[in-house]
Amino acid sequence: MLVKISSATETRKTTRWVVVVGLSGIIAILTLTGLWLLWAMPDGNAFNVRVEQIFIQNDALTSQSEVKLLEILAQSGTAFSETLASYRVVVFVLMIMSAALLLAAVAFLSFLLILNRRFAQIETTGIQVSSLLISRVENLVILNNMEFQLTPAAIETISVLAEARMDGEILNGAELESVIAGKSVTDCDEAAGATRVKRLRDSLGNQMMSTLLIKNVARRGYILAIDKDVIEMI
Amino acid sequence: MMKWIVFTIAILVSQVAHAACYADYKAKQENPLKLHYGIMKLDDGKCSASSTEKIVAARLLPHGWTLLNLVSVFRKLPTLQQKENAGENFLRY
Repeated sequence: MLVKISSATETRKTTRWVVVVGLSGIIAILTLTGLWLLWAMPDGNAFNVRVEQIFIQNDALTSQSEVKLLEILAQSGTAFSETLASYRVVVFVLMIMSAALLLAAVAFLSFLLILNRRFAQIETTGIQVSSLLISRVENLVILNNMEFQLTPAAIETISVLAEARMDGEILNGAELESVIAGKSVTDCDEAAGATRVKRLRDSLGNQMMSTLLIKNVARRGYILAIDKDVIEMI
Repeated sequence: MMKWIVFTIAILVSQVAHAACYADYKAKQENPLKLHYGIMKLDDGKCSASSTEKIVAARLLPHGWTLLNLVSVFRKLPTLQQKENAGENFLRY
């Protein structure tokens, strides 16, 4: 079991770290790409510079028709620069979209980590009660999806406790006994209430253990209802 | 007779000494890009590339042209090919 132990605070720290690093990384990538887009994309002048270079480097290119041709070349390049500007917009839009996707990915990652933490907590708490249904007619308590048959007295006790819980009250033994027996608190004994709670615990605990841990297989015997990999002897 | 010979030689010598200096160059104008090849006549005694470059650039600037580079500097008359290439820019500036 030692391997499975995970601390909730540790996971929370990791989550925060992942979110911070992820977000700052995205912002850094976004700014760098934006700057690169503005700085490295060639403008229309790039063509002029190239044509000029060709003109300077080749001494043979001096006849009038050749010079005219070079000028036309530069002009067509300048015309292309307008197309380039629209490309820049398209690239920018794509970049923003990819940034949004990255942000979503980081958000999902953090959700995943939070869920992971929640799962680890549930794993260590043992039983997480998500629903409790008390049927007084059938003397039945349904916890999550486990059914427990109780005695009428135990059902009475758990009903009173449930009502008190719904009202946000805490009952002591005497108060519990007074509600169930219908007598005034002064006439009731603390021990009587405590006994009722003890009986309820015994009955419910016994049944719960038999469902969750020590199962009884009909006509064969008893078996621990757990994975054999988690068992360790010290 | 002797006088005439001396005079002719003198003229010839002086012509060689004061022979014009020519430079062919490449220049540009920006927005939109315009290029031109031209030949310039200079009254430069030295007729060297380093001294000529400044003069050529200074002469082109008032007309809105920027000197790109000097192709060559020479004393003899420009060839027909050079004249043809320069076209209207032959001895224009």
